[in-house]
Amino acid sequence: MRKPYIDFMGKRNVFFIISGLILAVAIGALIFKPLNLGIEFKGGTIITLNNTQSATIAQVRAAAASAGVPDAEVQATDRGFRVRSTEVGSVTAEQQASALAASLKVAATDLQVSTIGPEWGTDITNKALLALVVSLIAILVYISVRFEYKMAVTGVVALVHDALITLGIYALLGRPVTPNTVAALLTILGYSLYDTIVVFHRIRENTQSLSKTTFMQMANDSLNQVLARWVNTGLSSLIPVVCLLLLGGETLRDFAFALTIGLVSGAYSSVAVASPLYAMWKEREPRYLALAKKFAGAK
Amino acid sequence: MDSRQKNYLAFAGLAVLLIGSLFFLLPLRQADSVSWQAGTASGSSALSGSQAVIGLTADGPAVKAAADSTMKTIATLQRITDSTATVPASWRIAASPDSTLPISVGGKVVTSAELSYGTTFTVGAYPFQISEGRSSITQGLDLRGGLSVILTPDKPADAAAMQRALVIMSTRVNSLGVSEATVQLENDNQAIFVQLPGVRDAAGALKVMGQTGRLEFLEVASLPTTLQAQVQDGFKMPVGSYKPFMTGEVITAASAKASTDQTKPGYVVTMSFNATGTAIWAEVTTRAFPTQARIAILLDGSVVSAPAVQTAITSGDTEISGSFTADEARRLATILESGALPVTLVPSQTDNVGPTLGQDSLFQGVLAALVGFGIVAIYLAIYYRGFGLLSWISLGSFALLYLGVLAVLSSAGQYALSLPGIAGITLSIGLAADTSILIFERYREEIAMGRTPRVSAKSGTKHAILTSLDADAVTFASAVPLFLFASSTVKGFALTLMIGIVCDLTIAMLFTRPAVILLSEKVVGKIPRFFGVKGSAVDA
Repeated sequence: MRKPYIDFMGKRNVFFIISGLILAVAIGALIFKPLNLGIEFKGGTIITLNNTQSATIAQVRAAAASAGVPDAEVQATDRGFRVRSTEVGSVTAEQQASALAASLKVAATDLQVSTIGPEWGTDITNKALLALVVSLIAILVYISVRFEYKMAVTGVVALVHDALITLGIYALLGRPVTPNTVAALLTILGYSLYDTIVVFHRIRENTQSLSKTTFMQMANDSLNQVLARWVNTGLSSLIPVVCLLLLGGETLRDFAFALTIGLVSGAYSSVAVASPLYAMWKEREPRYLALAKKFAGAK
Repeated sequence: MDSRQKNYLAFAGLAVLLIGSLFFLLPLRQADSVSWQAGTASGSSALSGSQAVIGLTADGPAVKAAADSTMKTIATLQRITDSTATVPASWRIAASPDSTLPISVGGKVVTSAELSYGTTFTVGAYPFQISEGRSSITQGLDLRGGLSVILTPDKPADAAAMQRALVIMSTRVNSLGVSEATVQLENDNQAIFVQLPGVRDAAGALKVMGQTGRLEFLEVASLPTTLQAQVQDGFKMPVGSYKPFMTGEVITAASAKASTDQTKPGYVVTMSFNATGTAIWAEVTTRAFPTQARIAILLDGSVVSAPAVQTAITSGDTEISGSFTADEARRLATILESGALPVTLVPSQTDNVGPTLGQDSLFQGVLAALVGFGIVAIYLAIYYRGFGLLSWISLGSFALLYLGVLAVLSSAGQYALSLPGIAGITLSIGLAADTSILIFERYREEIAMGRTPRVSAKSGTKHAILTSLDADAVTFASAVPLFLFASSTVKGFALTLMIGIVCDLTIAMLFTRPAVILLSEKVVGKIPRFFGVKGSAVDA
């Protein structure tokens, strides 16, 4: 079995253009079609009804209106329906939900009612932002100490790339962003670096004996050396998360959707963004500039 | 110690961890149990089937799966499986037709009743109680069903005020009579987190919790005449229209009890005051009693009761009579005893999950995780052949250790599996597979470079574990801030993920690495193809 050899570094401009285009769409989406923040951030009520038998969306909408649920937004799930509405206070929300369940003949045991006050939503958002900042700092410090700051910076650039793409897709699809989405996004920050770290590890190892070729060439060799594990670790992380997306039910889908996009984007960005940027940056160091001159044309 | 001994030592260490995990994990779910008192003696019995018989033997009460000749059947227990039952997954008691012993639940004699967990019922003279079987991994309320509420003060409150609010809230929650309810301070003492498993009337529970508890006493005669007539239960006093003579802090105790007065059946509420309260109370009642003037008790400006003063009360011990039902009386007593909350608490977040819905979510989540686990395992076996099979043992041990750690933390009361936790577990499965892949790939690569399996195993596994240590550490580093700063639901996700990472590295070091090394010494050289290693490179 001959191992394939792919010229990632030579094609880096192609990758940059692809990433640039996707990012442009993502950022455009975020600007022109703002994120649909879930009621967890704005305050409101979510009523989940399982085992609704033969009820249709129209029936649920009518039942919600007659139960007094304000501005009900009804969504079908694989087990029944989910009704989102504006904030009415927790006791009223419980009473409306009971009335709604009763009119649809849904047992109280198949009912979930979640309410969130408006100020609590702000609190959750602030905490998520705090966690984000601390996460980024922790990652930067760790990679700087264990590797070097240039790897830290290019790794974080790739990670911001992944986060923007994930958020952009949320904006584009109008999918509600919940605290679970945010948690998934924050985890992606760490997990999308998994592949990047594997590649960086190899580049660092190969750097020690670098003398017969340019840094860029060595980085490309490193990428190809870890190609099989890049594919396999990518798949083995993605498979469980996709199963969660397909089978896991409504709440887990919140996590799984963000995780799926983030994992795909993270795997892509480690070879298409982080590694080329790092190699380009390193090649400007005098040592590697000399090597590049020496082997110029030999490529 | 040579390196081979080290490898066996690692296996031994792992074996101990795995046996420990099994010990904490099994049985996954214990059966419900029933306990009883007979004089000073007590007994208990597991309810493993769907029905049981309560009987009397020569030694006292006994509970058995079926009636037998050694005891006289006095009642039967039947598990409630009907999802429309008001008390899900609990038990129904029915009197035995040939027994004359009365069954009473909540002070009422019944022939049959639905029992929620923790409720005491008596058969004859013996009190019984049914406890819910514990899962070895505690389930959060989003899976087992129940009401969780985060209460926050409407303006920043100091720690002392929140501590007092916590005590008062605990009193109120206890008054709801929900077994295993928890009330705790969270979020830098700025929130009170209440969990009520299996609560039936969420709206009622929220009402009791949400009262701000500004308790005031008012002489109705002090009001303008037009307002006096309006003072009735439930009347909301116009803001600033009245001046209370006393507030709730002076109350030291309050309770509900059945009325002893034959002419006024129902329930009454008794209360007593501290010295200050007693003095004020004596003065006001002395003044009011000749005209039987009314005193209004106001909670948050609404009239909860406005009894007429029947006598001057100088001792402080007071009885409020009215046509209270047991529930109304208990509620009023709780309100009185809870006194005034030092801060106004509002429910910022509530989540009320029906138990069937919760179990359905659990089923979907576990199914998704299992399918993901299975596909990854099959993929590894196809791609890595012999080592793929080895990875099955790695992944299996990982799963066992992981669940074992969660069970240990559960039994210490430090962990409850929630839906976000299931997401964390699923992500960890991927992480564990990644670590095996890194090890096998590096190993293959070193062999392809012409090294012997033995050398490749040692150096390859070491390098691979170092790589996955770094990659895992970065994931860990992003989970820690989530655990520290994020909201309580997300905390479960972060904690579960962190535990998964630690378990993954433990298995890599105690099992996967030593196993690859040992296999390379003895087996890989003989059947290189089975391990996906090129025969030509093998010269061991």
